[in-house]
Amino acid sequence: MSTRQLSERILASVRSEFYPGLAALMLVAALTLFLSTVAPILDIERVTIFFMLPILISATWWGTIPALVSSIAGVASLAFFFYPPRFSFYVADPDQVANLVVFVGVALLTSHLAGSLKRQAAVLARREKETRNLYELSRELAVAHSASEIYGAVQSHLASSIQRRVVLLRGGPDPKARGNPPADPGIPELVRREMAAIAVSEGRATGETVTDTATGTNWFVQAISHTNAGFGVIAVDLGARTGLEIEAIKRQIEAVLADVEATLTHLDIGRAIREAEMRAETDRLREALIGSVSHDLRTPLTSILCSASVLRNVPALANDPRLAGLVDAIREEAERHNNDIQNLLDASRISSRGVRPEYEWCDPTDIVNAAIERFRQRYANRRLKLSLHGDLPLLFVDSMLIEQALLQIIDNAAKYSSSDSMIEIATQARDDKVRLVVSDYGAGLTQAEKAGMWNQFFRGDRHALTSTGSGLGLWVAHAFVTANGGTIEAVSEGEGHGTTVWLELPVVPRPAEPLMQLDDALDE
Amino acid sequence: MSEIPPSVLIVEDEALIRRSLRAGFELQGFVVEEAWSGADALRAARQKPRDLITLDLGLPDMDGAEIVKQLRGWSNVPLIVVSVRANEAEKVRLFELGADDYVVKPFGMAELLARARAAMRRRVRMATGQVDLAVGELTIHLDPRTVSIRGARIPLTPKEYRLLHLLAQHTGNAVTHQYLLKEIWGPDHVRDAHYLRILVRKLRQKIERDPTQPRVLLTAPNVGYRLVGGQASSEGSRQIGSAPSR
Repeated sequence: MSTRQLSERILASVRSEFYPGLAALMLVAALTLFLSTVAPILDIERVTIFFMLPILISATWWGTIPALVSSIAGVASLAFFFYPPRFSFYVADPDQVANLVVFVGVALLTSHLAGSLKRQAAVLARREKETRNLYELSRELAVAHSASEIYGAVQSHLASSIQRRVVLLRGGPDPKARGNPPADPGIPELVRREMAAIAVSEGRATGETVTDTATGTNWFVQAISHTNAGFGVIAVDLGARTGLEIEAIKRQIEAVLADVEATLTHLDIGRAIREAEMRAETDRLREALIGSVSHDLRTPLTSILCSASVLRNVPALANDPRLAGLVDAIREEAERHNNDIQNLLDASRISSRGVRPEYEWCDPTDIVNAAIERFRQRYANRRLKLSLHGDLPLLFVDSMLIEQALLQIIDNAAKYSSSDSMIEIATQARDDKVRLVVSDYGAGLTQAEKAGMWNQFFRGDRHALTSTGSGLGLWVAHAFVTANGGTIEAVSEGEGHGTTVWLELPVVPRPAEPLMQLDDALDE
Repeated sequence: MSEIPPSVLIVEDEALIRRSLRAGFELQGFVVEEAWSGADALRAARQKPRDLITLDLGLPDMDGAEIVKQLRGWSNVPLIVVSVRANEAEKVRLFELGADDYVVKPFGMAELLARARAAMRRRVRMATGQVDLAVGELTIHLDPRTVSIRGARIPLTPKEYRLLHLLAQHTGNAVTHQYLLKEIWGPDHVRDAHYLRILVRKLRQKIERDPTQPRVLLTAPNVGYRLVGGQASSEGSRQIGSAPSR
């Protein structure tokens, strides 16, 4: 450090300690004035101890240097005003000389202790803030779905810890693929070029200060990591600051970057970015695959279903029960097959990305009726007994998912009960829940079935030979209902005694609507 | 009663599906023509007016929505869209572009015919410019604005009347949530679906025999609502192809 810089630093610290020091002096002066008027009246002999007060106050409020200032001022004031001979710095009594010496010792120790305590508290507070920031950052990173989300989190973290405008150039594993700096008119061309240069050069660690002559602003450009250029590059807007101020900010940036780098290394941001990109790519591929499988499987089904339903209405076939039965069988099997395809696609989506409900306000009765209508397309002749509550609260759910789940339950009821038995569907309002109940008089459930029925690929042993299925339907239904905050449960009095399944969905408070929106006056 | 047989244009790239659709429509007395690409369909539709078009969305050459848009530029032929895709947003978009109805593959012929019939009836009614709308047992009078059911007048609030009227103007076809919300509460409320849910429930309590088993004001899942004539679902196949006599 050159002498010029050293003197600048001393000057800076003098400047920063000037007002606290002055305040400490004032404290001592005030105390001196107070004691010199009050002590003779109240006959206070030992004034020395009072001079500890300004020292303690200065130390805790302003730190070591103001505390030292008040110690020296205190000693001077004691010697000059209070110890005989008064109005001279000479102290005659050896007792009082000893007093002063002890006072100076205690004052020095106190100011040192209080000062370091204050420094520690400040460091602790800063650390706490940094830790909170870092914690916040790592939490955001952990849930980030894409590289841009990761960089968004890093950028806002930097901006909030440095308290300056920060531009971040995202990195990536491949130097050639590292992006161009954002084309923001607020970023000088020179800065953008420097960022790009650092981004593609592996291992150029030191930061550069770039001065934009047009606006007179300084920018500090640096790779986030000294070792891994893939972490990206930041540019910090230093404004018009110069010299020492820039040095101070640089040190701050270095400190923050060290923390960020440690966190990023720990979280392995390079891998996180690759994984996020891969996830997105896999999702796209899977959706494309699902789309094409769905199309390829359903196109032939459409011809089959369409043809069967055309044939079913041809008088020659309709009038011959045996032939009509054959056509019905074709239609029913095609419908069932279509349902299996739906379950397979749903299951594949659930296992790959979970269920993502799209919530909306809907009338539970509509959901039930939609499921029943679709059920009727499959089993036109099943007897259904409906007891639907007339005034259920609205639900905030993904109606498609609930409908699909309910359809699956009714479908299962039909599958495991004799075709001439009744299926009962009811809706009930209970406390803050809406319950959709499906009961059948069919095969019922054994203990083992009850335990396993919601599992993926579960198939009851009893039915393995008499019915087909993928064992996905109930699992999908369960996933759909749980994703909407609901529960699904099955009860049965045992084998052959029928099954009752209910879906329970939570009722959430509706946004208040002005009464006029709905209950306007009768149009009479 | 001698009538000109209705004509249908089937737009579908899968030959087997075309074949079964042709058989289904011909058995119901339709004159059938086919197209297997978007360009082909637009050309065929321009050649002469049809009574109905069924359009597959997954054509090799053109996006289905684009075909609907172009077609609606100059024709209001009843249009049923047929597709394996059942994406909600896409469905709503197609309705907004002017498709009359949407049938998800795989489907049965009866379902398609029922939708087709409703769409065709609506065109006829629009062409005749009736003052009063009759939907099953309901009669909606425009002047004065009253509604009666089986002859007895029923009191409706202005919003209930508005909803019923909007649906009646498109009888048989689904009207989207967004459209209804915008028309009844204004453009600021297109996302307040719960207003509509509650209004529909109140209206059903007045016009349906069993509000939990609606037969007149039906829900088109995830799209909107549709008004159907009281016995629409069981009208049977006798009427298919014959224009309503009213």
